[in-house]
Amino acid sequence: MARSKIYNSCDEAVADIQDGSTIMVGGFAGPGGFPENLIAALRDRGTKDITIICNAIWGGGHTSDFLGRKYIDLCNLAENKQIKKAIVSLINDPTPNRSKAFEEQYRAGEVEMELVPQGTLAERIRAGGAGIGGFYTRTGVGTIVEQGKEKRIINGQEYILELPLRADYAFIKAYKADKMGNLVYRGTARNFNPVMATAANITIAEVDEIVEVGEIDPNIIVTPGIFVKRIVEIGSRNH
Amino acid sequence: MKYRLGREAIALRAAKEFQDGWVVNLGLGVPTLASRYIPEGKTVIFHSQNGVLGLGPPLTEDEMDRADYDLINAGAQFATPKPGMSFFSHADSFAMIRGGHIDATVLGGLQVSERGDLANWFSPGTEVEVIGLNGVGSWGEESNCDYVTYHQGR
Repeated sequence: MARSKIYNSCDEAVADIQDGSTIMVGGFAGPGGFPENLIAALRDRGTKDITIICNAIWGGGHTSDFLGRKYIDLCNLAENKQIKKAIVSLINDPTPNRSKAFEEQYRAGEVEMELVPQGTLAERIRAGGAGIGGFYTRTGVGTIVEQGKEKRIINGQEYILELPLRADYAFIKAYKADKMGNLVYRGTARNFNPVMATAANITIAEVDEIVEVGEIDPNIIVTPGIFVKRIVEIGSRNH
Repeated sequence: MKYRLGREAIALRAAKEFQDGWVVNLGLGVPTLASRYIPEGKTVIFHSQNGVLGLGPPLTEDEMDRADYDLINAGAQFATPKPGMSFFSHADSFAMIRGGHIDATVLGGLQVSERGDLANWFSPGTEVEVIGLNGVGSWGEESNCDYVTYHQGR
């Protein structure tokens, strides 16, 4: 019988993650759809030299407070100097109490950063998950984003080649899972999670609730369990 | 002497451009406020890049008891739910943008040239407020692209 996908804690679910791993992290901004309990476990484990692929490194770090709710954000990892490289669409945000840890490390040359237009980031991850070798897009043409990239004229318009992204692990936040790892999401918390779930060797989902197989209507499942290796129930906190 | 328009006034001005039946992407900052000012008698559907179509305006201070962390707009503000609203992934969201399914976008910028070139993701040599790219603006040639910015910045 196959091993159960259910892990008792986030600590247990991240226990084998080695230094130098590449990790995709779901979320857009703030706690909605962000796997903060897995990030907290990774912070406590102290894993170093991580390459993070995510929408944004932002928040207040150890003082993070998003619209009145304390949560663990990626700045916590930056403050602990656990991040070696970030592939992101943005860092920082306009909130007054933001953590500048990653920005300062970048300006000091201690970490690497690759800025990717947000839609290109999503599509590169989608390509990585689907075994697609790359795609041409018009976004970035005529800007520094095009530097070093193959160009091609398609239907009279200039396009640039973008390559797929994959990761060793993907950290996902979903609303509910069944014991087979089928996932459903809630509201705008879906964001990058479904594409990232497809693009990692080991996808780990933290969910509000794990239910029995058959309890989720198959018509509404967004991420089929084939993409999910580990699930952890964390209880409802987000809404 | 130059006068600086307030946030709400800029949002109101941008919203006057909305045509009946348009689907409009709203970016972070002042643009999200434009959802409060749909011209009378017109139907406009708002798109937010984080995966929602048909959302309502940001909650006001008095409405915070309805706040839902799983319903935010592009500016990470709590948004109002509306009937007919739909949720989708980032990949689908940018398929709507890059596939030409959106009629217009309202986005914030740092600087705009008189030709309409837009600086919207990096301010070199200064303390950066935002570093990042969302790839929405590059589609300005094909969608109606409104830049919303304060005249007379820093």
